[in-house]
Amino acid sequence: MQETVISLKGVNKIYKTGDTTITALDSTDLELKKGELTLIMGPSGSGKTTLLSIIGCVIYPTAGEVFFLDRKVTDLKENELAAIRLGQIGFVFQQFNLLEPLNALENVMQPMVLQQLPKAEARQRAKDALEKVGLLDRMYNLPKKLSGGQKQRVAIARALVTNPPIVLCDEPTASLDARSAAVIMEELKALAEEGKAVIIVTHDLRLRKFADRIIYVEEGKVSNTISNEEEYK
Amino acid sequence: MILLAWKFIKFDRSKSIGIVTAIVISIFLIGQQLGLLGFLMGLMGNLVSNANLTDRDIWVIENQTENVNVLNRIDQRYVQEIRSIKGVEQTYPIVIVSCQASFLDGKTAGVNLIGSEAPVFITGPTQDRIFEGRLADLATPEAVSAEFFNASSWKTELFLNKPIELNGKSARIKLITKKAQAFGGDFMYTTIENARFYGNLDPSTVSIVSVRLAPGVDKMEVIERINSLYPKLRAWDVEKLRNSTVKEILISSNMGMSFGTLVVFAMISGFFIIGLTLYSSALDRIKDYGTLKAIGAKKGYVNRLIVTQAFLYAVFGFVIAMLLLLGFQQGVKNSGLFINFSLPFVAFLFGLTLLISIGGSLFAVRKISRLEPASVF
Repeated sequence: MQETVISLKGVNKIYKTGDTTITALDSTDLELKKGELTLIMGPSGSGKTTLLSIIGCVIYPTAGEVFFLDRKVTDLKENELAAIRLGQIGFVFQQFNLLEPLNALENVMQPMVLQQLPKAEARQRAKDALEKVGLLDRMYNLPKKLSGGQKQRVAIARALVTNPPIVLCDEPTASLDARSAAVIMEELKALAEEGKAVIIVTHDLRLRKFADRIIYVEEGKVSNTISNEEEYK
Repeated sequence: MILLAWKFIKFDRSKSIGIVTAIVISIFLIGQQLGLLGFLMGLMGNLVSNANLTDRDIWVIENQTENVNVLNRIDQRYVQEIRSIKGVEQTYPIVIVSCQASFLDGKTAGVNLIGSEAPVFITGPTQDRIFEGRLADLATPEAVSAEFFNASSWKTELFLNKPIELNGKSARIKLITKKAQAFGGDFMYTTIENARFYGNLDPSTVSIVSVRLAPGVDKMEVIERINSLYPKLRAWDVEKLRNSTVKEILISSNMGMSFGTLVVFAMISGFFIIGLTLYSSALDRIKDYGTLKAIGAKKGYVNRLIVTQAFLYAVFGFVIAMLLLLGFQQGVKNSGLFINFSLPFVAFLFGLTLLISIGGSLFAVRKISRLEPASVF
């Protein structure tokens, strides 16, 4: 039985703008486990990103409870959530979100800088992480000097450099060509096989073959959650 | 943090140059204007500053004025009467008269001839302001001083023993002062007799009675005694008289308001230019700040990153502004404009730079502080 890293119990998220109320996520129960690559799929505006943001301890739900490694995080303060994100979650973004003024190495070092690790150690670990994604020779390049695929691999190196148990990816292949997308997905799949919980929000149906589990979100509701085996039956 | 802030500054080169330029212009203008004001304030009080005074000295003038440069004459007999007051060690009459100086080349200038008794020469000039000649040389008939830096405004050459005319009477420059300039009419020092002679002044009047107290005497007590004994006179602690003179001139000439307004506007414009450019720069980098928050940076860290950038901008801007100010100081020194950038003044300017720069960064801090980490998804 694989260990649950995140569980959501009766979670909903409501946004209010003026007189309008939008239920982005409604009564959601969910468990995410280590060693699984989970896809969160659904149409635009379905609540996928809201779900990812709640799983990633980026926003608070309006109601319900979120447990992160058995710790209730919905009662935590903003800075405590930031500490969880820093130490326990690796983020990979659709637009890569590398810090433009920093080179690849400094970008990968940044989470460890935030953790106040000694500079030499942070540097070495960042180099190791870049080597793993095959970009050691580009470590002094600014993001603008890297291709989309290279940027995403730097982003993956940054997400993994602190060795978090969870990797959250928001449309990681959306800005990439098919070949780069396949490389990135292979890398993410390998992470899941190493025992990490890899959660990917995507529209891209081609990614289903990499998933251990697929969660469909529609109109703010987790409408269906199936294993990949069932998907291909 | 400083390294990261530096990287952000370096990356956004054009905005960084804009911010530093705004700081440089603001601080240079403020430093220049305040330096100039300081110099002019020094000139306003130079009648006192040039005098050979101690902390036991009081000046007695008529009670209508609070500006030592604008004096009505008082009776000469007060010099003896005040000397008889308990606690007074000595009194010295001082005469200030306006004259027209004419030079051999036909140039003329309005001057204030300041006469005091030789060999004390209570009105000075002090030794550190004597450029050429000796104070004792003023004790000779027809001897007067001239100010080195007035040569250019008088458009004439100044040298010892140069013959001149004062109100049509022959005189000779026996002493050249330096940094003893006046605010308005220029100073020439001489003996009291010479001053009366050249100024066609009745010997029964003086402009100031300088009073030296005996050691250990309470100055305030003597001042009050003089003021109560002579209602038409007013005794001043010389330092207070200098300050009062400066205040009077600043108010009556609107100079204080004029300099103050310029300084305040330089501050305000600097504050807003820096603030808005930093704000715009923060908006350009909003994705980076959001990413930092999303990957786990605390709000305080991101705020500090912006403030650190503002601090670095302040340091660069201040260093460049100070170099320009020092250049300005050297450039105007030869024309007799001595701007003093004392350590407290430099510290004040740096504090002001930090205030403008870090204060301006608060617009950006406020914006980024509200930025949700979820914004990057």
